[in-house]
Amino acid sequence: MQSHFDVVVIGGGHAGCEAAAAAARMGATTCLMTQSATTIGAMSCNPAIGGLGKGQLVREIDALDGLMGRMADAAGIQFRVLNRSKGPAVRGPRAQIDRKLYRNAMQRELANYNNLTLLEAEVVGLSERNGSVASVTLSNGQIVSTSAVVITTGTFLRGMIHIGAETIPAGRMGEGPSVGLAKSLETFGFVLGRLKTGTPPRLDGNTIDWSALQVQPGDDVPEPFSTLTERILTTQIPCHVTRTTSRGHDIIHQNMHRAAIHTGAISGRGPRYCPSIEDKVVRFADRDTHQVFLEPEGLDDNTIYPNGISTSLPIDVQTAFVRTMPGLEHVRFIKPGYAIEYDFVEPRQLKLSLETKALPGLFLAGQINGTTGYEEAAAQGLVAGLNAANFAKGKAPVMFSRAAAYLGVMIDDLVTRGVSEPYRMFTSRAEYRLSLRADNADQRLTPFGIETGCVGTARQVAWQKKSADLSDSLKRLKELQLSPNEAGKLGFIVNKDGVRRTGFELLARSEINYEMLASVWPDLRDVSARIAEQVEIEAKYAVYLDRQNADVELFKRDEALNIPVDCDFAAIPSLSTEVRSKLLQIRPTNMGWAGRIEGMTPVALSILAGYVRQRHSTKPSDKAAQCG
Amino acid sequence: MDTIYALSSGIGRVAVAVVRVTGPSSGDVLRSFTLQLPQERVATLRTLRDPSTGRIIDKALVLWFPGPNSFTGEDIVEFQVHGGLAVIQAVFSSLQLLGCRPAKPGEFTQRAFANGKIGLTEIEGLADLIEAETEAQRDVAIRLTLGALQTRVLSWRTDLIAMLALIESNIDFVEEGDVPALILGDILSRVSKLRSEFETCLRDGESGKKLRDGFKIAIAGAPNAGKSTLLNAFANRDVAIVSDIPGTTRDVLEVHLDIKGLPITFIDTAGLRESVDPIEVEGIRRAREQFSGADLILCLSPINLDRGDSDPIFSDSRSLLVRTKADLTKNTGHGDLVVSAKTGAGFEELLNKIYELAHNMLLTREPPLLNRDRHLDCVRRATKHLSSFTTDTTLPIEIMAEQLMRTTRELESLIGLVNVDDVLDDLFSRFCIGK
Repeated sequence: MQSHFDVVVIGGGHAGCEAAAAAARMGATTCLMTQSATTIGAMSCNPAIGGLGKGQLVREIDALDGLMGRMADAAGIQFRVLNRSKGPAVRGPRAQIDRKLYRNAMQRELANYNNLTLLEAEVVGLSERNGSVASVTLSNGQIVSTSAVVITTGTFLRGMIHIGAETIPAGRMGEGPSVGLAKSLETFGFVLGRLKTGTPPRLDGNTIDWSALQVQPGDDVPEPFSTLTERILTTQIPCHVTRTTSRGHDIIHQNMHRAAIHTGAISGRGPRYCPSIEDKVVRFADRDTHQVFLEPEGLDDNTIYPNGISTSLPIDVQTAFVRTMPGLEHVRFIKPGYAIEYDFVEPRQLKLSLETKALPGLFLAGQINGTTGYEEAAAQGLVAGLNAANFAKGKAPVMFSRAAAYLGVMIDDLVTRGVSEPYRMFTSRAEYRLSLRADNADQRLTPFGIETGCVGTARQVAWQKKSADLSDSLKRLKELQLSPNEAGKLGFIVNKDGVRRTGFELLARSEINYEMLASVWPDLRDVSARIAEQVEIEAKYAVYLDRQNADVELFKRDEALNIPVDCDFAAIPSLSTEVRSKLLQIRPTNMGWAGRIEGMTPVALSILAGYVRQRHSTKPSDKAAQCG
Repeated sequence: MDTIYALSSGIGRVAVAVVRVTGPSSGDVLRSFTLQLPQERVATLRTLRDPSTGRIIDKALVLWFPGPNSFTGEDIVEFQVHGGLAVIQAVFSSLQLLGCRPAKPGEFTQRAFANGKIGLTEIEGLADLIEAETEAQRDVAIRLTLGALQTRVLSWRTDLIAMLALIESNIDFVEEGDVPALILGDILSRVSKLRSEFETCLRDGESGKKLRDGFKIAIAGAPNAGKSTLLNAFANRDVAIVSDIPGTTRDVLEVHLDIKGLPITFIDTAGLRESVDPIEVEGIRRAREQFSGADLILCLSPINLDRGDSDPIFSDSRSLLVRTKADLTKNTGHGDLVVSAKTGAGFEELLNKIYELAHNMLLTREPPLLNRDRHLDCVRRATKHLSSFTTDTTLPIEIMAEQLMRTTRELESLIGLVNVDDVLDDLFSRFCIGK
C-alpha cells in the first residue's frame, strides 16, 4: 500500500463516501478507511433519501457532481415529490430506496473511482507535525502518512445502544464503537458533547396483513434526483400506511418507566423533529393516533421499516405495542428498535470550510458535527472532501454562502450557532428559500463546481447544454408579445391598458401555464419538459425573486465586510463579556457572520464594525473561493 | 469595558449636582470615596474623601445600584454633591485618577440599550421627553418611554411568529402528520385584524407626528394685512419686524407656542403681491412653500379693504379667513372672524377656533403610539406586505410565509432588533451627556 495519501477519509457512511469521492475528483490521492468494506454506503436507519430541505441537499450534491443523487436514482423503488400541491420552492424530491441496491451501487462506484483507495482498517489515533495533521494510526499499529484527514464516524464515537435497560457499546447494531478516536480528539482539545437518536424495530413483511392497509403509491412518472439520470429504471412499488391506536398508547404509558430515555440511562439530547414514539405519546397526549408508514427495505427483501415509531422500550413492550396497530396484529420482528447515544464534536470548533480551528488539516463531516440524516451528512462530506483536497494541495478553501445553497445554510448554522439537538435540514431554515430550489440547484452550483474543479466532463457537457437551452428559452419568452386585444381573443384576461405583454409576463400570472402559451406559440414546444417547468417557475416567482435578490445584495454587502483572521476580539472596548466570549469562540471572518451569532446585539455589532474599520482598514481577511 | 461618569444635572452654580458613574469598577470607585458600599438602592449620607489624599471633598448623598437592576444594566453609583464648581471638579479629578473617563453624549442610554435594558422606541421616547415643550407632547413621550410602542410591536410580532410557525410546520412537517392543520380562513382573519390595527396606528401616528413637530399655522395675506402684528400679538413679544411699509417680512419666521397644552407653530410669511424685486419674489416663493406644509392657513384681510381673496390660497380647504384691523371701522364683518391686534378684540374667539382645529387634528382617542417618520415608514411597509393577503386569497403558502416574514422584519427594525445602525448614530448624537 502507498505510504502517503493527500487525503485520508475515516468512515464509509454517506459523509465518508462523498468526502472521499470529492477529494478524489479534485485530483487528490485519497484513501477511504472503514472498519468493514461491506458496510460502505449502508443506510443504517430509514430506507429513504430526500424529502423537504433534504431533497434540495441531494440536488446540490448532484450539482457538484457528488454521488448520492445518482446512487439513489439507481436504487429508488418509489419516487414522490413532497409538497407537490404547494409552490416549487417548498417541494422536495424523495425516494424509497432498496438498501442493497444502494449499497452495491455505491461500492461499485467507489471501487472504480480515480485516485481513490479503499482500505479496511480501524483508525485509533491521529498525530500532528508542525501544528498540522500528519498521519493516522491504525489498530494494527500501522501509521499512514497524510496531508489532510476527514473524520466521518457518524454515531460510532463512543456509541452506546440502549434497548430498555439493556446497553450495548456499538456504533451501529452489530458493529463496535470507536473509542480510541474519541480519546485522540480529546487530546487535541476538542470539546465533545453527547447526542442520541433512535431507530424503529424492523418487521417481517410476510407476517403483515397487507389487505387491511391503505396503499400509498409513488408519483406516476418518477422524478430522478440527478440531472444526469434520464429516467428511473428500477421497478416501482407502493408503500402502505397504518396507525398507532389508543390501546398501543396505553401500553407505552404503562411501561414508560422502562424506556431508556426515562430511566436516566441516556444523557444525550434527541431530535425534537424526529421524536421517538414514547416522546410522541407524551408530547401529543391529546392525540389517540399517529400515522405510521410501512416502508419496504428492498425489492427482494421482506424487511419493513415502520417510519414514525423509533423507540428505546424493552423488546417485550415494543412487540406488544406494535401488535396493536392495524395489519400488524401477528407481526414478527426481524430486529428490535433501539436508541443510540454517541459523542459529537461541538461544531462551533469548525470553520466554514469544515476544517477544525484547533488542528489545521483535520476536517469533520456528518453526524460527528451534530447533524442527523443521510443528506445532511453527505452534503457536509462533499464540502469537507473538496476542502481537504485543497488543503493538501495548498489551495484556498471553498465555501458556500447562505444565499447560494442549502449546504451553505447548514454549515453556517452549525459553525455559528452550534447544536443543542441533532440538526436536521428544513426549508424554513433557508431565508432565501424562493431562490434556493431543488429545480435550480445546478444553475446555482454547477458553474462554481466547474470552476472549483470537482465537476467531471459528463456533467460539464450536460450542464452547458441545459444552461444554453434555458437561457434561449427565457430569451424567447421575453421577446414574444401580445397586445391586450390579442391576449383577450386567446382567452387570457388582462387589463385593456394598451400595454403589450411578453410571454414571460403572461406566464407570471397564476392562471396561465406554459402549455397554454405553447398553444399560442407552438415553437415553445421544442424544449424539454424540465426546461419548460423551470422557465415557468422563474416566471411565477419573478416579482418575489427580484425582491429577494435585493435582500441577497444587502446580505452580500455585510458578508464582504471582512474581519481579519488576526482580529483581537479581546481588545475591543465596550463589549459585554458574553458577546466577547462568543466572538472569541466563533471568530467570525465577516460582519454578516458576526451578526448571526446568538446574543449579538445591534449595538455590539456597530462597535465591532467601528473597531474593525479603525484598526484594519480594508485588508482582506481570508483568501477563499466563495459561492454566492 | 470602561467605567464612565457624567454630570447628570445642569451646569452652573446650583444647590445640588448629580454625578453618575456606570461600568464594572463603579463599586470600587464608590469604596474609594466612602470606604464601604451603602445598602443597595437606599439614599445614604456619606463623607466623600479624596481617594489619594484622604482629604474630605464633600458630604453627599450616595446611591448604589448594582447591575443588572440599574438603568444601564451595569453597576451604577450616583453622587448627589453640593453644586459648587470646585466640588464637582474635585469629584471629577478623583474619578479620572481612578481610571474612569467622561461619558460621551448619550453613552449611558447606549449602554442601557446594549444591555437590553431599554428598547429603541423607548430611547426615542426619552429623547422626546427631554425635548417636550407642551403637556400633550409630554403625554406621548412618556408613553413611548415606558414602552407602549415596544409592547404593542412585540405583541404583533408574537402573533406573526405564531402564524409563521403554523405555516412553516405545514410546509416542512405536513408529510409526517402531527401538525395542526392550517385553516386558511383563520390566517386571513388574523392578518386582516393585524392590518387594521396597523392602519389605525398609522392614522393616529399622523397626529402623533404633528404633535411632535407642532400644529403648523401659516399666516398669509397681502402686504401690510397685519400678519406680523397678529403674530406678535400671539407671541406677546416682538418676534417679527413690524412696520407700516408693505413688504417688510421678506423671509419666513417661526414662533412655537403652547396653546392650552397643544404645541402650535406659527409661521409668518411674506406678503402676497406681484413684485419685481428679486428678494421679495423669493420671499413670496418661500411663503407658498410654507403653505403646502401647513395644517391651517390664516388668511388675513384688513376689514377696511376688499376681502382680497383673489389669491388662490384664500380658497384652500385649510384656509381660515380673518378680517384684521377691526379698530379701523365699525363693520362687524358679516360672520367672518374679526380681530384687532390693537384692542385685542376678537382675539379670544380666534384662539378658541385655532385650539378647536388643532385639537381635532392632534388629539386622538388614545395617545398615538407612532410619532416619527421612521415609525410611520416601518408600519406602512409592514401594512403593504400584509395587503397581498386580502387582495389575492390564492396566495401560495410559501409566499404567505415570505410576506409574514417581511412584515416581522419591519416590526423588528421598528423596535431596533435589526438594522439599527443608522438610527442609533442619529439618535445618540442628539442626547445630552449623562443620559
